[in-house]
Amino acid sequence: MIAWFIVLLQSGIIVAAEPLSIPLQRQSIQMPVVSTALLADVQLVGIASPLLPEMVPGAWFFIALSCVLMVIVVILILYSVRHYGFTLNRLFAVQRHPYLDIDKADWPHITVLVAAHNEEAVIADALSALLVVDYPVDRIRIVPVNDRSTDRTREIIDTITAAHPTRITPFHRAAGKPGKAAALKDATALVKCEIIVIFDADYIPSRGLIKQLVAPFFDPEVGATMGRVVPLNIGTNLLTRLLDLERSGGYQVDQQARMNLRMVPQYGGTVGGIRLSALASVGGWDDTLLAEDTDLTYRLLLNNWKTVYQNRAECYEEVPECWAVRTRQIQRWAKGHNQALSRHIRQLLTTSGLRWPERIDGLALLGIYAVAPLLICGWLIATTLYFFYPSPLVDTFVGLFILMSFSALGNFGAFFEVAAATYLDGKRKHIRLLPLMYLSFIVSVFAISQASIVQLFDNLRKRELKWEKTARYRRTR
Amino acid sequence: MGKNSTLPEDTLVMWIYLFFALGLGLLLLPLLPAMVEWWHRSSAYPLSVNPVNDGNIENFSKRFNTFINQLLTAIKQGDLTPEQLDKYLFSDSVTPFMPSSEEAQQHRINRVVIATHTTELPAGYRFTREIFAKCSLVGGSNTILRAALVHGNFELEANSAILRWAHASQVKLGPACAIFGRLSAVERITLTSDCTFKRLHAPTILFCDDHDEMPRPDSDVEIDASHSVTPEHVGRWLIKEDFHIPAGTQLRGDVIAHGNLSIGSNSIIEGNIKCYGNLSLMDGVNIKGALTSEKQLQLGEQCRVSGPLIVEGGIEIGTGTVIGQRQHATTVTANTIKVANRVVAHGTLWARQGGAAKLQYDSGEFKHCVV
Repeated sequence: MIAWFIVLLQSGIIVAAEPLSIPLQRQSIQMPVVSTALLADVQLVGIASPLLPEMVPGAWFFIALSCVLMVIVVILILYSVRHYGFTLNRLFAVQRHPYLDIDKADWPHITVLVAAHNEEAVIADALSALLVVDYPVDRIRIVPVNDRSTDRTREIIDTITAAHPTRITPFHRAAGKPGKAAALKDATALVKCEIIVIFDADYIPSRGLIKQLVAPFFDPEVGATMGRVVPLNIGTNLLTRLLDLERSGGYQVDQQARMNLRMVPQYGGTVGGIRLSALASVGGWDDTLLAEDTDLTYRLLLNNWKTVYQNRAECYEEVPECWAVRTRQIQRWAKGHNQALSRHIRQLLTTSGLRWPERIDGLALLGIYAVAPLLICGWLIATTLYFFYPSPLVDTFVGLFILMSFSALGNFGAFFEVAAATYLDGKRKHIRLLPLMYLSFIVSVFAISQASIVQLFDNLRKRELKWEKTARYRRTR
Repeated sequence: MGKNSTLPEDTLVMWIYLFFALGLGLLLLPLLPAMVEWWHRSSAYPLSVNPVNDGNIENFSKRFNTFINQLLTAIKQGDLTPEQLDKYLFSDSVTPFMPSSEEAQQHRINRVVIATHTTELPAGYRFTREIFAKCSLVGGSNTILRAALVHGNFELEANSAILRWAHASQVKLGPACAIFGRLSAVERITLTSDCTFKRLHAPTILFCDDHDEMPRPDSDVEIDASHSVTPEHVGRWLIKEDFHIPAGTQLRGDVIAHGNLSIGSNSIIEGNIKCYGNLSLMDGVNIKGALTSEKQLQLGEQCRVSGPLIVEGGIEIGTGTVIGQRQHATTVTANTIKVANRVVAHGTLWARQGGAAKLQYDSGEFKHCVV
């Protein structure tokens, strides 16, 4: 219904719409050329006309709602500005790739951990690709972390290990706490070298990828590196194609812009490297969280370690092929991110030594999954105020809110970002699917909001969050 | 007339339907390209990630070598027509390099040159296609060539230019040569005065004139553990402002400075250094690790750096400095790289905007910036 409302709004039909039964005077929602004029209008109303309308029954409740709405509007405007800023930076500013050109060096010893839980369909491809990467053979050790698999994962790993016993050291985990972070925690305890590189089992690294992920560690301030994830199975259906667009925007624009602006590129938990001394200095893996990658990004940041994004370190992955799996995946991310938000927000605001761009971007990144429930709250409040509490101020805010939330989530901000990403990738035909991203955005908004509400109740009941594996689609060999 | 003044009910309904159909059509029109793309799937394929790309500088020459081998095999088997053979200019022990009269008049060769014996290219020619030389190749002054694969030694005389790439066993460039692409060698590259470059790669890269005495390639200076200082927190020093490390300091551990950083002469640091501002090394500093600077890096005379130099601004490298070790090649990457004479680098120099071998410089040009 809301999507339909947005479409109506976009088409201008809603301009003429009148509320069903509103006895009081009101202005209809205007569709002016947005923002500046409207903001000026807000200021005028705030200064020149009485802020407090006639005291109707329950007026203070509505005024409080208006204030909440105002806060939500401000947050959405900030996120819109963020989208625009990142996109313009990627299109026009100087791009930072300081570690890209390092091709010769005294490369450090590394261990590549391949997290695998029931990965019989994909684990062989990942290990085969890792065996031919461009990295000194005597300095790389491949460790498939078989976490309590019940399918043929163990058998496949052991077969490949038998063919390359000096290069692969399997770690079969038969018991213990479920979840990737818990498995990595156990595997990391056995690693002797300083740098680890982590892949999920469905990833297929290219030959030059490992050097790209390791090169930034010559910088002593770098605690983690992150490569770019590229969906492989995008031709499957509309969902995979929309997810491809989403990933493009997230990596090609968001992550690289953060790198350019010296903000907080996010360690994504896979296709990335970690310096073990840095990991140890921030307390190691935390297997109580659903998004250990986000948590680690912030723990590193707060302890003077940087995360580096390498846009040219590209690696194929699988994306969900059905909406139910996608919904579960994004709900897991939302819950994990919200955990990190509650854990780190205070420190992020108070820790000295952080640069302002890092602090601001860090806050925005932490709160990214809180935007969806805020948006829905905003819609509900705006609708309530529109129908039950008429005043010029409220009308203005309703209009402002709708327009800005439209821009923030459904329109130009995020869409501009995705369009710029397809342009930068040289895949201009992809851009034709852009309008259909409404669909995935709306699904995400409701999925994330549902996850946030469930998480709230889980927290109240002290219930522990459970890690859930994303389904794989590649056919088993 | 009175009856006709109002529309019949079915006509009204039709107009209402038409109105909504038009509205719906206008609504869906912007979505048409998306619908067509969804249906036709003209771009339903993933972003291309080359699974075998390793960024190796020699990839161009390897591919060209494969092409030449296939070509020579085809020629030997008589598979090429005379018209096809006309696209190549052959030079061997029997037929020396001999351009056509038109080519000689224009000083421009638009054919792939294939030389199976040591060949000398005449001065002032422009080669718009690749050159393959099975033995050594010498280019006269003012030669401009697109690309060259030379299995022997390759020498270019003064004021010549390489536009795309060149690879040889050993390379020597005369004064004021320009490399706009990639130059690699199996053993050694020697650049003389006023050469400019983008990307160089060889086990040994020398910046010198013929008479120059080169510095010892490797440093055997060891840190004196009894005099060294070591940070306590995971081996890192974090400095939030400008900082100067006094001359003669011996330090084991990484150093990160959020301001400018200068390191006094003859200091030895066993660790990596990162600097948000300008980084300046005085004469004789020995770094057993990498140097990273978000701005400028200046290396004084007779410095030694074993690890990569990662600089987002420019680098100036002073006389007698050695970068990397022969057994452990390294990388120097920056927007601009200026190199003084008698400098040795082992590995790769990559100047994103441009590098210059300024051998005959004013001594003031390379003076240290003290922070």
